[in-house]
Amino acid sequence: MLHYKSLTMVLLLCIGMLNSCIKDEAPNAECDITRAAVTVSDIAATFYQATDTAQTVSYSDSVITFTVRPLADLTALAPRFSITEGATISPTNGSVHNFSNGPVYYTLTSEDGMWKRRYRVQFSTPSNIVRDTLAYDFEHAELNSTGNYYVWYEVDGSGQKSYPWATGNPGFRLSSSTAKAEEYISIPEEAGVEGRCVKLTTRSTGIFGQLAKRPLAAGSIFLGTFDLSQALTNSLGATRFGHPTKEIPLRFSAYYKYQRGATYQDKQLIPYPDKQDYGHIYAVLYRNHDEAGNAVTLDGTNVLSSPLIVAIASFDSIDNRANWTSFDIPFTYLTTLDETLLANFGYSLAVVCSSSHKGSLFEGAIGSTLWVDKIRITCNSTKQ
Amino acid sequence: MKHLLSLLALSVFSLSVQATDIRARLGYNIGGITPVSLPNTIRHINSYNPGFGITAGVDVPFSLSKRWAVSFGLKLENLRMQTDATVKSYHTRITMDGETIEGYFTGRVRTRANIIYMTMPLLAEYQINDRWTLKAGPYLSFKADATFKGNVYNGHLRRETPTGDLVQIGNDNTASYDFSNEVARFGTGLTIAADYRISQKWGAYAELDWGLSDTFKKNFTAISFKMYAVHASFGAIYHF
Repeated sequence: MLHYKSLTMVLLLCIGMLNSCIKDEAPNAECDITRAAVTVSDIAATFYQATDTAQTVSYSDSVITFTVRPLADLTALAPRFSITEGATISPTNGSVHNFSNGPVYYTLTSEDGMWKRRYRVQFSTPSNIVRDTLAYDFEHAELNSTGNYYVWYEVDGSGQKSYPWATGNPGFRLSSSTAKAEEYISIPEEAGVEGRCVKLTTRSTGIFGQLAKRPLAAGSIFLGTFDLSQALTNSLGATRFGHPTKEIPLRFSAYYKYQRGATYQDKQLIPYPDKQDYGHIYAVLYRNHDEAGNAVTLDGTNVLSSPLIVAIASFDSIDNRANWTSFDIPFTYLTTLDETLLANFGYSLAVVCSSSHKGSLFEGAIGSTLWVDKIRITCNSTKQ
Repeated sequence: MKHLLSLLALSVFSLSVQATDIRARLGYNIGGITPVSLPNTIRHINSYNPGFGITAGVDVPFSLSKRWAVSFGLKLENLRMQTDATVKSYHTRITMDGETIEGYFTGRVRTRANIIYMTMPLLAEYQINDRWTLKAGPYLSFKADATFKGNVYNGHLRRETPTGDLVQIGNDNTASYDFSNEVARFGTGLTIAADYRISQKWGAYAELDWGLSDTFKKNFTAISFKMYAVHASFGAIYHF
């Protein structure tokens, strides 16, 4: 009888151990700003759009920029942030600061005290100069903050750097951690029409890309931002196109070379011997607020189809060209522009270049390469 | 040292003379792979299905005395398990095909394991009475076949550090893993068991096997805690 009891006791002990207590939850290790907002008494005096007073902050961003009017008073502003639960922020959340002499840096510390993030918060005015021609020559490229891939920037007349361009490079880094910067989908190349150009190559995303059902990545460069957090859940939503503009674009031109890859394949890696890959370069002008007044950024799902589009210039079916070739096409306007909207940056201009025209659907030929240089957008600069 | 040599000599003598019985066993295995102590990164076990596998084997006891014996065995056992857990800031480093993804994952993890081990127990047996024999001892396992795979879903990954790039992971099976090749080839553990004699030819048994070695190879970093093969089995014995 003793033996029955021993056996039962042993079994119960084992079950108890297998269901061992869940330990106490560790304090949070993350420390992000997810949203930033600022309240002012006279919104219209400070901001072009009411929606400019608040923004969602991407997890990859360490710089938060509020766009304000040139004469806005920045001496006493109190941005308020939504931050990871349990994290602490210094200086205090909602404290008043003078932003007229430059940015204010906020440091976040995680709940467990082991991790920190530093954010630069700034208020800047967009260029109000309306130019004849927007020129993009891709001369300026540098390695990103972690040194893994290239990012492109523009330099204005006063030497100020800005980063209006985005690529799919951050997404490619996820699948190909060992790739050198020159092996990424978007890289600078020395042999441009003049100076440097940008080289966009459709590449395989290896085993991780295959597992994620995204077996290739098209090389791309576009005016806008890349939201890495959506790369796996909503890839089309990750590429966010366009920046607010006051320009009225009329013509769109660029120089390009193209060499398609050997085998066209679809998302399931099935080859299609009778299909060919093509490049695509296009520009879109769209209204950046909807009827309800919500701020809108077009993305891979709707940049060529949204009802908010007012003008398109699309150079599609880019075929093999071994030597620099140029195109010059007009913007086709679908509606007339509203002057008030234009004056308040109510339109956004997107420029998009891709080495595989169906790359957003993860279709294309690995190795397809598009070189782009000297993008010119001729604008109507006559004052109204 | 003297005692050990005596014991060895006795064993050898017993082996050559006293093999009394050959027993075949067939039974069910319940259990699978488990961490012994859950790290605090595991927030909730949403489901744990130990799975029913089959175990079949042969063992031979060698009498040492009226009540004591030593048995050697050889069995094939199938461990199956399915689990779904919620984890928070769980550090993982997955290397496949030369590429590495490393980071902290918060979300759900689904796992399916199906391992076939060839196991050799070496047990000390004590016959309590006509019916009952208690047994205990170590075993050595060899992996014959292994599947260990699953996917992560409904969560996010922070690349490299908790402040690194964040990638959302949805529920469309885009983040699956297969660690089948990382299951260790050898394992050891302890067994305690009881045999019940029903008749001259037939018996029944219940057994608990507790793995003491990590189920996965040493350099495997995708799972940040040790996993052990812990399972119970019960079934029928046929005495030849």
